[in-house]
Amino acid sequence: MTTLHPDEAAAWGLAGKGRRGHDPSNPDGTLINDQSVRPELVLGDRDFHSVTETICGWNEAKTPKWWLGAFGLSTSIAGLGTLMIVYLIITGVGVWGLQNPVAWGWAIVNFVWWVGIGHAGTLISAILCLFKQKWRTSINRFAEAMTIFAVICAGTFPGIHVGRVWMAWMLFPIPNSNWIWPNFRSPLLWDVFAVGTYFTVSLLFWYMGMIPDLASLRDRATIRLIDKMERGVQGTALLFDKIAAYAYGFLSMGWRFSTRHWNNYEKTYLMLAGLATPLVLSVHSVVSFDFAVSIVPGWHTTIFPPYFVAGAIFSGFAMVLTLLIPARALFPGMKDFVTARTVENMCKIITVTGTMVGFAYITEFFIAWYGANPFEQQTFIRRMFGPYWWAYWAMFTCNVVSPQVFWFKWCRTNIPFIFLITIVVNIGMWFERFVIVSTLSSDFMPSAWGYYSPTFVDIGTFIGSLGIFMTLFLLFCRFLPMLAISEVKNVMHQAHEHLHPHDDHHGEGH
Amino acid sequence: MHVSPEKVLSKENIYLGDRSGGMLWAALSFVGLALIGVAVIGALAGDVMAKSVALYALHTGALIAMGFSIGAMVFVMLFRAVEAGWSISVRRQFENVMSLWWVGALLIVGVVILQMVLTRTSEGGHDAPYLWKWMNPAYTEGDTIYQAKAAYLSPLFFYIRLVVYFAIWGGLATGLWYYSTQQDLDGDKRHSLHARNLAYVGMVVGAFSLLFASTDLVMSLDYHWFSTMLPVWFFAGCLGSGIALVVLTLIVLRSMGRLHVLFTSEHQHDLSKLVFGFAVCFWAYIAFSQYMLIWYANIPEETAFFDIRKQPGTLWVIISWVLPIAHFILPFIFFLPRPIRRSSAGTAFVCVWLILVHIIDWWWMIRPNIHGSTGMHWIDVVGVAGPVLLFVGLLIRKVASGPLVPLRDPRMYEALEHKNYV
Repeated sequence: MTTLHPDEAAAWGLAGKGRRGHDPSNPDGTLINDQSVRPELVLGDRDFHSVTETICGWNEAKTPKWWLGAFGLSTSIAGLGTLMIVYLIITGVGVWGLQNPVAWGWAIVNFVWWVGIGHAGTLISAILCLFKQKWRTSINRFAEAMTIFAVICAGTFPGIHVGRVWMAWMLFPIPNSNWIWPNFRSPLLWDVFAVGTYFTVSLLFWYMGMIPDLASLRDRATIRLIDKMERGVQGTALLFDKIAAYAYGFLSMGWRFSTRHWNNYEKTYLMLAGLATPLVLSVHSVVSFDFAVSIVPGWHTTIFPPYFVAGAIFSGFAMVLTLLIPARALFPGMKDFVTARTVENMCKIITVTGTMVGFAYITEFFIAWYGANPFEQQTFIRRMFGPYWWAYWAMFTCNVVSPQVFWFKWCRTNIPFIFLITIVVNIGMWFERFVIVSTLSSDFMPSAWGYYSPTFVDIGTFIGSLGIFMTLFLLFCRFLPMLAISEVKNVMHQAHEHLHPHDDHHGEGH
Repeated sequence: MHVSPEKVLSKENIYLGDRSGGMLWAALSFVGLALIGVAVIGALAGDVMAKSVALYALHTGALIAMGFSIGAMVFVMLFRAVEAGWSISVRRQFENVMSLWWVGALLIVGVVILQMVLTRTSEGGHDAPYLWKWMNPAYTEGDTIYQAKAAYLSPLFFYIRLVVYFAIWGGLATGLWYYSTQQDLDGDKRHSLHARNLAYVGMVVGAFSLLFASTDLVMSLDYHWFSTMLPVWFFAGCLGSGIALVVLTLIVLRSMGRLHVLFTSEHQHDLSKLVFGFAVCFWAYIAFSQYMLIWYANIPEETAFFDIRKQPGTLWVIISWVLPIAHFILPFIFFLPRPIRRSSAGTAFVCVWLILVHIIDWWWMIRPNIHGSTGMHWIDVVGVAGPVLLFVGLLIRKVASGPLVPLRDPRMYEALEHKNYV
């Protein structure tokens, strides 16, 4: 089974390249354009054993130096964020830049940004699973983990913005002595339920998917332990293997790789995928309701729910790539799983969702004009040419213009360039929410118009949330299986019996 | 499962045959044309209300016909863009529906011409029979809201835009059809690549054309009202009705002994999921979001749309209650179980049901714009049924006129092997 089809030269001809033979710009050979073959999903002539060895090896190897450095930096930044939160709690929400009429500032921007980022994981693991997109197997675990951490960061902001954090439990409809109930007609309350449900289901999905791989790590740690004990090793030299065996053993919940276990696993996986799919749509729809149910010009527009969902997937994919590209370079052998084709596919999704977001901007703008509502029209003109013009154009350039570069194959296959664009997209999506919030600074009463600026606490908390995110993410990379081992094996050609008895030229990685 | 390509691609399996459906297509098309004729006569000879009703009903019917083609075309572009393998054996039926885009386009042009004729022949004034009321100078006189959007809603610009939409849709449909049928003849793999690239561009151009087309053809019927969600709602209707019609066609073809191995219960199962996803769930998501946001904000310029449709004593309020039940709750419950999605009868029933409720949905979206009308007129039935029957008749002819599947698609083997459980 070669990676490349014999028709490779013809494929390159079809792609308009006019080149023959192995292409240097296409080192892993998956970027073929031939319509009669499917590219391999796993490269490097691997067998099942080498897949397990590589993926478990990332967790079992000696801690890399870069990891320690990155972890130190991330935890320091996370510490800064924590300090800011402590300062906020002991002083009060006045330390933020909020002022009437801008009662929602960076906190809601950060919340929506993080929740949006948290959409890609479940999209990749649930929706792409239902669509049987097999290339997703190498990135789904990674993206799900990122989802969980992003939602944790998101949840911080509504939690701390209530001012008296010790009263945050009153967000939940729990009977209390004063008979004060949350307002069930408020989308802010729906948020609590929507994000809470989303987090729970995503966590279950992520954890459930990891159980077989955790069991692999457990078994490997146990074997190492026994091996060492047989060789007469004693004392602290056994400590790490003991911890690993017990911790992974606890987490793998008695998984024994029996057929019955796999059967339950597959069923649960499919059911959770089915349950998570509507959640991908509902969470950001509800977040969009936070704005859209109000009667503030520029906030109230009916296209918000699908537009927010598209934007969420857009930013989520960008963040997955932002993390994946360095990981792919740093962890040995990862490029065999996360192939150039996988990255290219993700770039295409970024272009699609970015264009959908752009479509929504243009729809909004057109209908603001067509609706003939002077307040709405003024809002859009002020967004573009008012005091926050820089935010609007930053948003538009980053979100609509920048992803269009992926129409060109060079851009989709040039890894450093993709990395750059994903950062740009992340910035743009942050500005999208900032543009919505900054609209408040010029509301119906011109005498109240002002200019909203964040304080150092706003900025520090946001940067701190990035640190929390990175810290969690680095921990995940170090201690948990980063790729879904069984799923990756399932899309390798060895996993399928020979489907074409007379076939000796079709790719089998489909 | 190993199948011999000779058997699968035998003439008995992939051609309907010239005789099959020969009478049926002629009969359906004739009835459709006759009903359209009756509606036109009603428009020319009837009173003011009959004239208005005929315009609105024919417009609804024309849009539904157009929507089938647009919906099918979006799926063809989607399959092409993502290089889907499993759907290749059913793609030709999407392409058949897509290739009839001209039926809807001609009907819409016919409605515009009928509007012009009625403008010339009937008395003017505020209540003159107008589909696009903003074309009536007596109606828009002193209307500041109209003044604000007169640059867009001017008849000449409107006609130019219609031509642009038809050029876009016709161009895309013709291109996609050409690459697919040309591949039948020469088996060149390059056609797949070209079709894919056309699909990429077509998705973007098509999205913008639908934004403005739905504004012109639906939203501007009540030109005071606006909603950014309406284009998406329109799109959801196109997608749902298009795929429901295609799945129905496929099931009928299989029941006639065709498409053995090419359209199995595996393909049906996956198509049914798409029907469920788009015609039931996506439609409900969009329709609910639009309604909820307008209800919640309660701004008069937006609520006007639902205000008319919630007036007690009208047929509209009844449909307002019927739609969420018949277009979402019932099909959602009925179509959720796997056995129904894999059964021919169950899926065919759901498809017919969804097409019917889609017609009601769009009729309800368009028709209450006639002032003073609270219910159905006999011309409504004639004017909506005529274009739909004409479309179905022509579709039968189209299906019978060529192979039922793409013949030399390089990925056909994937479609033949398609399974749901791997």
